[in-house]
Amino acid sequence: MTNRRDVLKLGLAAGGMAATAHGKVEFRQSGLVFPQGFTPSIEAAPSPPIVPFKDPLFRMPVATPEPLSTFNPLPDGRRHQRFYDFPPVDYYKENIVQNRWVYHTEGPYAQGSWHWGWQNDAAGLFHAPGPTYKVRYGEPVLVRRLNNLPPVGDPDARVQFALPSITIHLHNGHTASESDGIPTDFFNSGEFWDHHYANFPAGFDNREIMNTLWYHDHRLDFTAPNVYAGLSGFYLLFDDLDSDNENDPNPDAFRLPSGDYDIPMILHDVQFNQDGQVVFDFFDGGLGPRVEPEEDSDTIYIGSSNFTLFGMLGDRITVNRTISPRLTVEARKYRFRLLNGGPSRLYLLSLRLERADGTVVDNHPGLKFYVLTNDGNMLQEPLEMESFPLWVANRVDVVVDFSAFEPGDKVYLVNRLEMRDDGAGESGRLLDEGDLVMRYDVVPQNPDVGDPSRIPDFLRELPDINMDEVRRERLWVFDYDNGQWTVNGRVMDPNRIDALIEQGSAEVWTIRNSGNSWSHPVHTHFEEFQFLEFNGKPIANDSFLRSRKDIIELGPNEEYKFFGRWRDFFGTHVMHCHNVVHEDHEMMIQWKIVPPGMGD
Amino acid sequence: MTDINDRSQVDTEPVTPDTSVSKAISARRKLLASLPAAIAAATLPALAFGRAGEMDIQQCSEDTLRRVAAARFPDVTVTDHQGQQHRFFADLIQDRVVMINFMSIEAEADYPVTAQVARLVHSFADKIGKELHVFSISYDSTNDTPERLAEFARQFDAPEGWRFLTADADSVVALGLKLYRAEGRPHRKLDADLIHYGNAASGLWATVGSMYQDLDLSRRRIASVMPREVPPSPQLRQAGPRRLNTHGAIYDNAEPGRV
Repeated sequence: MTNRRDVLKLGLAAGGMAATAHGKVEFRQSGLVFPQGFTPSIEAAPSPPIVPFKDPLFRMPVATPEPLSTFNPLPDGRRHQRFYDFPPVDYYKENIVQNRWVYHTEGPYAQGSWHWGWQNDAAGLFHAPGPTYKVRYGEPVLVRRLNNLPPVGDPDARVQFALPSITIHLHNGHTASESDGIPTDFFNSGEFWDHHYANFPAGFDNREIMNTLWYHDHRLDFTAPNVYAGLSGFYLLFDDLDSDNENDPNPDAFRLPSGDYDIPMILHDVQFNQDGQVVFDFFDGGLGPRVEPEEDSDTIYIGSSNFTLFGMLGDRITVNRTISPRLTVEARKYRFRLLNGGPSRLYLLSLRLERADGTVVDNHPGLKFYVLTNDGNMLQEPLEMESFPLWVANRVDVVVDFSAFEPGDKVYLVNRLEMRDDGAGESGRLLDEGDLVMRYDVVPQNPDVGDPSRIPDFLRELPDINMDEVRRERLWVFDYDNGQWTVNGRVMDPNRIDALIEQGSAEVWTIRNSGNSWSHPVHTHFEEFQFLEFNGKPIANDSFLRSRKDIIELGPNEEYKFFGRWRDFFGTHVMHCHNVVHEDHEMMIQWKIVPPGMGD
Repeated sequence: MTDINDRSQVDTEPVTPDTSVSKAISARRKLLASLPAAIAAATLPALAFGRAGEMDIQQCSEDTLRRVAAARFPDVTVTDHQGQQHRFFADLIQDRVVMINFMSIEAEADYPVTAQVARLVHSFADKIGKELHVFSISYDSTNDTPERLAEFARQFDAPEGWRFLTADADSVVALGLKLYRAEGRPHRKLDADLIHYGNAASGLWATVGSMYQDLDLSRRRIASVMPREVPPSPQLRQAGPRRLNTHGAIYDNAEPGRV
């Protein structure tokens, strides 16, 4: 047993915890704590080499509706809240399957990596990310998602680390619980789920209109591997102002770059074995019959030495599931919708110029972003920024004006943020050179199109914050206890509701990080909120954070206070850390919208 | 390089090809050990290592780290409560669906994690030992002998297929290290621990909090990694959402009226 000196030391480490004769049981059972010594796989077993900027950026196909007559059984409105208030004008089907996806066309990657994704029929294009929805406010839709993934144990199941039991969350749609894709609403291989998206702004307030949303898996315990395996895509909402038409004759329309010049980009960092197959870091993918270690020892992937609950980092940063892609851009304005799809890596993005003669320029005046949105919500006015943070699930729409550059110039999207080795948050340092995420190759403008797009001076007004509506305040403390991620000292329990919120009320929530070295991109579903304070200070009027948001970029020891409303539907939703490894282990709470008078 | 087939090496001091590197790592660890976080980190192996002194613990931990880093799962020798020895990975885990937790007999009174595992085990009834294998690993190598673990197993009416395992401290730490990334301060108010579940054949691994309330849901979470067959049918079954105003389990909205 531990001697007295050990017990004392243990007490010291526990922050003054009383030492008792039973020093051992002071630590809850397997609160086993181990020394430092973690070597991340991105160092121990790097992915095979690549030829950067060889492959073009993948442009996801736009989702196309299908005739209702092809739905069997027909969608049933009695399964959805307010279905008949918002009858769908369009119906979509997603066929989710397994196939090979080519991340890169050189080396072992070229044979394709086993992946989850979308394929309408056997002859159709298999792709991940999923189809990009382009839908409009006032036009509700229904999406039927068919799980045609091979079940667990199927000889054809090649994606070893992900669970073919899925739920698809629309982040951050104003969507009833049963269509939101919460962790417990999963459907297995051979099953489908109908999602009804009413496409109206929260509270019927046009200032609540959102523009860039995304959908992704949210399966209880398996969100990180399932999103990583391929299940993510864009859902873009348009309205009279952000109208998807840079030639819009409506004098109020934003006329932002549209069509081919409006490009959604999702960043995922991925780790590969020497066979070009995607690996999830924690285990080697087992000794399934298809791993065949005896054939070629290079293909044995030894995962990280820990079942790490801290985070999953890959050494290949992909954009739209292409490793280090390039995009040919005309010398004009583009709208890029940048989304960090996770699982754990955080970014700080900036631009770098390489002249045709190879000269590298970091301070060219064109190297800036006109930032339009935070978390897919239009700011009040565009902000000119040389760099911006992109945490997991952040959506930041920017305009980059390539007319500032010469044909032949190459512009790089650069990440400068360094992560902790274990993926639990920022290291606190910036990378000197940074990772080159992708490259834009500048060519002359197309004279037939020119650049009719604009960057408006004003975007969208913020909804009022009315403290008279606030029914109560709540405090949520994010921490790490005994090897588990906790909120208010508890792990997620799918049968426990942590907050009963009255429909139509507002609340003020304080989100606190009690850890001094971990970062948590905290996300709450269903409605956007506005920050009141950061670390006890109000948010400046010209701040990037002065916006509607659904992610709280909660750094070590930080605290945010926000004002939020809960309107229009009833039911259960979640708030969780969007480092999806933390979410799976089990940094999540559930809240429920209840009728007035029934709140807690 | 050491030839691993050279039997003359048996019973001699293990030789690592990179002893100098190990020493460098060791020096770095000792430096880290002087930091508060590393002091915390060094303490719990102390529990598993019993009476070992501070530096011994540090050295054992380092050896363990090196050993684990080279293995997909530490294939250490463990002894079950019936006194049988097994290779942990090759004999017990490989190609199986498993549930694993860490425990000690002494701590059970304060913190009944084994009781929670028992609820799950009994809910799987005759699947235990066939479709699901359960391992409760004691980290109290000093006290939890196979005999005491056998008595403990009887208290929980443990069926064949639920094994209580003990091993030398080094091996227990190796297993703990593979399954945990537990760094930081312990928090005694938190009544929760992890039960790992996984399908080693396919490579699916996840955890469920041991202080779960909903047995049926926890059971379903574990069952989800078991091989299953989908009846070949062009017609997919609607899993949800359920009809409004019908009642049932939150996690399977397709079955109206199910409680």
